[in-house]
Amino acid sequence: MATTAKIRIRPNKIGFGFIALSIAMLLAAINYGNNLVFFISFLLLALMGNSAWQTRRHLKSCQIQPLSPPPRFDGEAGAWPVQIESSLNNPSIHIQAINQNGEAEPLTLNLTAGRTERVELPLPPMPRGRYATPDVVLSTRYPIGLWTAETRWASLPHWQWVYPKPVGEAPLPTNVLPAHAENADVSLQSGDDQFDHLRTYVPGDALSRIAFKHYARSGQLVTQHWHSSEAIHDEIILDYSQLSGNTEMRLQQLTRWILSLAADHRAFTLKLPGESDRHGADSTHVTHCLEALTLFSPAHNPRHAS
Amino acid sequence: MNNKIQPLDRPLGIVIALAITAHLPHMPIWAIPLVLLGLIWRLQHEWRGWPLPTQPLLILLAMVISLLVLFTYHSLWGRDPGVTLLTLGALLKLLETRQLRDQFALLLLGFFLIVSLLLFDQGIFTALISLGLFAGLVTAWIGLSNPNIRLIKPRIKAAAGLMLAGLPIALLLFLLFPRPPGALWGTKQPVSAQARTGLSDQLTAGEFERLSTDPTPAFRVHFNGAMIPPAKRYWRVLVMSDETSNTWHADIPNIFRSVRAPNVRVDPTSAVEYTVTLEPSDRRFLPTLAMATVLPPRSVLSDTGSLFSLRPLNDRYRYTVTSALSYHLDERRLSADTRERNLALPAGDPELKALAAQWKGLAPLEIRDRALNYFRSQGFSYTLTPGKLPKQNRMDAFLFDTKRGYCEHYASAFTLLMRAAGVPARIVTGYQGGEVNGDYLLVRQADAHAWSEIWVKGEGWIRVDPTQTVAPERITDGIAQAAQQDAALPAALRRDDSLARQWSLLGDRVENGWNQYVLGYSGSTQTDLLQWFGLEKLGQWGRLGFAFIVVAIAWLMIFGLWRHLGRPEKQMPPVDRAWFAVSNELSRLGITRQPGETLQDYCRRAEQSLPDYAAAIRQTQQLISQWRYASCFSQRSQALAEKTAQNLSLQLKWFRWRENLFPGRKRN
Repeated sequence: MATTAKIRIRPNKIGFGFIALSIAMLLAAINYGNNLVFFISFLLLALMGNSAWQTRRHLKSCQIQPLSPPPRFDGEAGAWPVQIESSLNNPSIHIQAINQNGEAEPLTLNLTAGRTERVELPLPPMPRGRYATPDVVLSTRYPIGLWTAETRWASLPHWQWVYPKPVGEAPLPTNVLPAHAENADVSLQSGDDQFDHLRTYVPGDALSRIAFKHYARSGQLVTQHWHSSEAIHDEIILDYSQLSGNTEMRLQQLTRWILSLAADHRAFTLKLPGESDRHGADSTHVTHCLEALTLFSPAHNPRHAS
Repeated sequence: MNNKIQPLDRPLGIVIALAITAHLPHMPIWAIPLVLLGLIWRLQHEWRGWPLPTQPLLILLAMVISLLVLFTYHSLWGRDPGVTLLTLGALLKLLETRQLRDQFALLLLGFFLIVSLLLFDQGIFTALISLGLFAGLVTAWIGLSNPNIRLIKPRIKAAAGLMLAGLPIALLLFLLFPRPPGALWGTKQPVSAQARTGLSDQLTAGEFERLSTDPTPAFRVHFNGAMIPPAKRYWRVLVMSDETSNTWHADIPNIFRSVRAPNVRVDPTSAVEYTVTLEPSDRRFLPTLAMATVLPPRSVLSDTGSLFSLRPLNDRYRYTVTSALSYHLDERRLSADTRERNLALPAGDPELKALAAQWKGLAPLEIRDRALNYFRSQGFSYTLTPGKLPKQNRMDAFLFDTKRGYCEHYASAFTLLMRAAGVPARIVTGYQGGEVNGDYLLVRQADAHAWSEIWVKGEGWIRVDPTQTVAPERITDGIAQAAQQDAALPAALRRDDSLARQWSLLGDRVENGWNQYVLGYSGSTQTDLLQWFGLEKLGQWGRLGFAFIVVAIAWLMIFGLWRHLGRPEKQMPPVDRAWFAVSNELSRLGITRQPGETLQDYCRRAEQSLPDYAAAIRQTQQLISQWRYASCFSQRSQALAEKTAQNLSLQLKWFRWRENLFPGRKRN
């Protein structure tokens, strides 16, 4: 990943103190014509110069590998897992996420060469939305604290998702999709055993849908798919426009419902004004719905805005 | 004081305590219990948790110390009081250190303590101590900056890395950084601790006894040509014409006024050029051979042929002189004034005068021979312990009673004899001889000598050394031979081949090298060095610029070397390192390993792209795989695998170069 970022190096306050010290030593050496004091002050100067290079080198040997931050809800603080690896031992490397509102205290790590460390960078609570990940600043003062080498990784290819806050007391709606209801009548006649087709088992399919008879015959796990079943009757419709209250409250209520339905692995349909309906029951569906809620903007559909 | 006390970094505490202790030898006596008490207090705080002294107590202590320094030195300004204040200030800071910030202040003070240590002494031993303290401070520094490092080993490792990479730079700067002559501001140059009196401007019989057993070096001489024989090694320092109550006084002109030049005719073929490195001295005498003709800068030659320095000799001083070994001083005539002074006789010593009266009227050289003959025939002996002579008629007692003496006795008696016989005569003091050590001549204080000069019309002043008549071995073999039986002679002066003596000579050679090349490195030596680059004409700023350019280049080279040593494969396990070179070459040929691709798949792909090397690649892959995964892979097999991988990478490199040079040429 981002292996080469620009490294900035600057002297610290204590660095200026030592520069003043070595100049004083040099003046003393010149004044007394003392060769050994000359040597000591040159050694100090060389040391300070070398340490700048060492500091830079120790930072350059570091690589970060940010993972995608887990989505969080509005009002929650998040944590961003980042992996750091260095080809050199570095007892104090600081890593810090530069957030828009205020900077967090940098984390200090003790890196061993070749061992990957994982840190969780704190992410502050933010309002609903999709945000770019903050810039990551990696800095070190090793070995003697005269210099700070700093590198900033900007526009890392990850999003941080802040879903609407899951609150709302309204009960789950009971309405189902009318089109599906018609089909349901037909299929009821043909009985429970009637299924439309079989497809290979995918992890996550309900146990009750696995065709064990077929498994006994062929040794292959397959899942039954009905045209009409309880599953479809179960498909609850979550409709934005049927809710009252302002946009945020509606989105929060929808989020709350989606979470409770997802916990029961139940299928549902999400209807948002101006967007196509989303059907499904699996976790990808849940994620897509939550992301849709996160990105929903009433500005696109002024009629539905409250 | 409401903050929590930060524990004192152990290495820092130890190094500061050592640096303070190193200053004890040149601190006033009252400071010693103070330092011990302070160190013990801090130690007890660390071990037993004693409370540190309170702020008012520290302020009181600081005031008491300032007063004591003022009483001792009558000043707070200057090197000695300044360093005492600095050292005791560091002690107080050590007792006050509670926060991390205090520890950084202590660190800075530590560097100042090193510098002040070097203001007192610049010997090799002190230099080594300073370097050790410096390394200790850097180790402490790394600990202060990285509280994460708990162990001492990584700190030492990091400090050593910094110092090692810094040493070449420091050396280059040392060599190339311009050395402005003289002080920047008007501080009195401190007298070096080793500065000693050496030869005095007065001569009283018995004074040289102090010097005669002093084995410390007076100066060292390097001859630009061949070394001259022992009998010619008369190092002239002072000429003494006036005697009052048994004490001779040197003719020292006021060197800051115009000095009368010597009236001298020299034989240019007898010229020798040599460089003297004079030990620090509180006088301004510059020893020379015979008659100096080409003088060092900022020096004057008196009309008696003595060389004086216009600059103080507080520090070791090196100068180059050319001398004529054969010369005629005041050849034709002697001024009336000089003649009178060199014939003046003190009252007393009637027997001496009676003896000399017998020779009156003879030719001067004849008189000289008579006098020397007297010494030779009357049973005189040369000894370092001549015994006490009476105050009155001292020379009579020596010449006719004790007949035991040292060079000053012989020179005094001979000079007076010559004067009594009507020949102008005077005493010359200086050094005689010296010991050959390597390529230089080591002249010690014990080689101090006194001889006479008589004036002969048409010849000028002629050197006569009556000691030579009594103890010829003193001149040819040095003082050790002449006074072998004297128990007073220290081991360093004895001319046997004992191990102790060999060591002492070797030590002197090392010290001489140190003085010449390290302490004596100056603007003029730098000019010699720059001559190699044809840059000897550079001014101070030019030199500064040149120094920076060279240092910048050196720095880049060091970084390159460091990077080379720290290449990634160096830290890999051996099997990865063996494979690294091959995979490196393959990716340079455009065959890069895809993520998730197995070694086998990758090599198969490589074999297809490079059919010529298919067999070698397959073999290497098999060996590497076995090494990595086989439960048992012998050392021999490891060596084979390494060799095979190495060969393959070389072949691939060769192939790549050939492809680059002759693209498209296919091998059959």
